[in-house]
Amino acid sequence: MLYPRDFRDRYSDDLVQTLTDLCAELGPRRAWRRVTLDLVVTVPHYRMETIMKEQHRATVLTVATAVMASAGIISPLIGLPLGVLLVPLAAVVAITQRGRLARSMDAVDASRLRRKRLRIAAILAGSLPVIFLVSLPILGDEWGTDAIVAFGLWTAVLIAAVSYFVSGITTPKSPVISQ
Amino acid sequence: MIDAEASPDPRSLLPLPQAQFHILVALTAGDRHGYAIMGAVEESSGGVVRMGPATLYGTLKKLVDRHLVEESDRRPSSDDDERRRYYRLTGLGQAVCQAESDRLSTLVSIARSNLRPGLA
Repeated sequence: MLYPRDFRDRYSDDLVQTLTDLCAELGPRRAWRRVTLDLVVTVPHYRMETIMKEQHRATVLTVATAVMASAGIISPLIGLPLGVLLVPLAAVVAITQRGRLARSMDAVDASRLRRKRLRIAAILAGSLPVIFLVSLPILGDEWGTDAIVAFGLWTAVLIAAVSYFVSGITTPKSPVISQ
Repeated sequence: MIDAEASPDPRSLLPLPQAQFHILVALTAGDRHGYAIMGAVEESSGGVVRMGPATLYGTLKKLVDRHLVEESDRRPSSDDDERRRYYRLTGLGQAVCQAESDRLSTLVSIARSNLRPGLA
């Protein structure tokens, strides 16, 4: 579980087999000591390699932009009016990084992916008023645990909606390469 | 499968990281599965280089992605565990291994001649 998914999918059986062979040859204690040392060195290294890959970088960028936009929307509600400046900042980041985000996409599936992401964004955005209306009875002058949970859920859905919207509008409308 | 015309110059892939070269050398003796490669590397280095499983397969992944190594369908015997995956050098892998060996050999000669003149 510690290793990146593509590495696990490709080599998990081989890793287990090799560990079995090591235990048979060295004994469990020495085998696990060797494996643990190897794990400590390789897990951060392989995780960093995954983070540095273009597509993962694009995903991190999308989520970061969405969190910025969401924080900008929420901040006036919690008494930080200057936080609304995060919204235009997020827009600038999304526009200037549009090329990087588009390059990381599979161009042939881009149109379908764009529609799917915008559809999910619309569904999530549509659920926000529902969550708000359902939460109204438990919101009052004093916020208890229920109210905090409801607000947290509303915020999480808002962030997800903005994330999908940002990733959808930064996906190319039509494929660059036709099939 | 690599298009022969698109194969890179083996020297352009040098210098090889130590772990990758050790695995290529281990495979020069023939098709091997992962644990056997690990043992061969340890033996050929006199016990100095001991790879863990994740280091081994992470390095194999890079070698396979660079088309220096490929999976082999051959099995040494019918009794062998079918779950084991065997690996072998590709043509490019052999060429790169040879090029790296030549490079290191030149380096060793220079070092020996500088450290002990007359014994290069």
